[in-house]
Amino acid sequence: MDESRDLLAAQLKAGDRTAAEELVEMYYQQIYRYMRRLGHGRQTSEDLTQESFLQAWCRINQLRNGWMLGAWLYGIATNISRLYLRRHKDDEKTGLKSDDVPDSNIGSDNVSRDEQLELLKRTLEKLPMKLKETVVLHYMQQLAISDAAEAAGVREGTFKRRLNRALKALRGQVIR
Amino acid sequence: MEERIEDLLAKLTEATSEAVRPGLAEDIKRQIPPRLALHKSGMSTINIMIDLRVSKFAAAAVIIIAMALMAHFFGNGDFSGNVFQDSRAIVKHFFGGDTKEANLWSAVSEFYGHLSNKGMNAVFYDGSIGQKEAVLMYWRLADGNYKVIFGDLNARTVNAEELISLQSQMLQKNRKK
Repeated sequence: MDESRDLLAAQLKAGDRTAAEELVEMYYQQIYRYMRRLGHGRQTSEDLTQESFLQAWCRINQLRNGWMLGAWLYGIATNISRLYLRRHKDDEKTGLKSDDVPDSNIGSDNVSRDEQLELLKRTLEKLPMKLKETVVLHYMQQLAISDAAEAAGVREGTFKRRLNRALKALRGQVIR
Repeated sequence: MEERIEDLLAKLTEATSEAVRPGLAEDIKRQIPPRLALHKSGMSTINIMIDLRVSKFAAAAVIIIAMALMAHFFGNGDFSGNVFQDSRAIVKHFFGGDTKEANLWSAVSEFYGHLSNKGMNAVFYDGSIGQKEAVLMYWRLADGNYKVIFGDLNARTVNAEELISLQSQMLQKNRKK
């Protein structure tokens, strides 16, 4: 796995278009969902996903190793999202949209669970963006701590502290 | 308690795994530029200028080695065997000095610039100077094979599989460092 990623990274750095297409196939869904989970609308998420890849093509030379491929791309996507939010501070209220969470399985046994899920979603929406990013990167995009920290542009220790703060906030609101 | 939060986050992850528009990947692929990686084109002239400011001897060495490389790869040059050693010998013979790695780097950059100007899409790994088995530069030949120049300035023609293998070996070595 590592070797194939190293090879892909080498091919990307060598300007191989086929490798670039492979990278798109590997990550476009992940990056789109990352944008959605950060709270961007559908069209905006598509635009930001495209923008992330465009930035990636310009920064191929900054790619160090194959095993950092995901973290590198997520790092670019995180910066694109932050930049968008700074530019559109007043335009878009970000948050996981209510239609993201299905309500089809609300039965008597599931009511409490679904209420908790709804509450979790709302609490996550209200978290400061830096804390939200840590939860989304690690728990929802399932990046390892080291990769998630790299993607967030912070040291692992800082990332863990933010994650703990975020979990504490979520726990305090959702689990009583 | 933390496990329950993780459990709920996993549920939320599942709930927010919405379908992605199938055409999105194609839209992104269409935006891949024809020249994906930007290499050090244009740097060679700057390096020569820096060298001229630092030392006339260094600049002369750079020019001679670049000429030696071009003669070796494009002309009927008399250079045989190890071009790296040949280049050092030339500089020693004419100037009574020795070449430094920085001068070789500049010379190879100059050579790379020459290839780029000729429209040959060469790839240049600038960290491989002086490393015997590391790929320093390669470009595709008309017959589909690749001309590879190694860190010691020796050259070999290889096929695509051999090139990938050489690159893998190089990456593994770099990772161990």
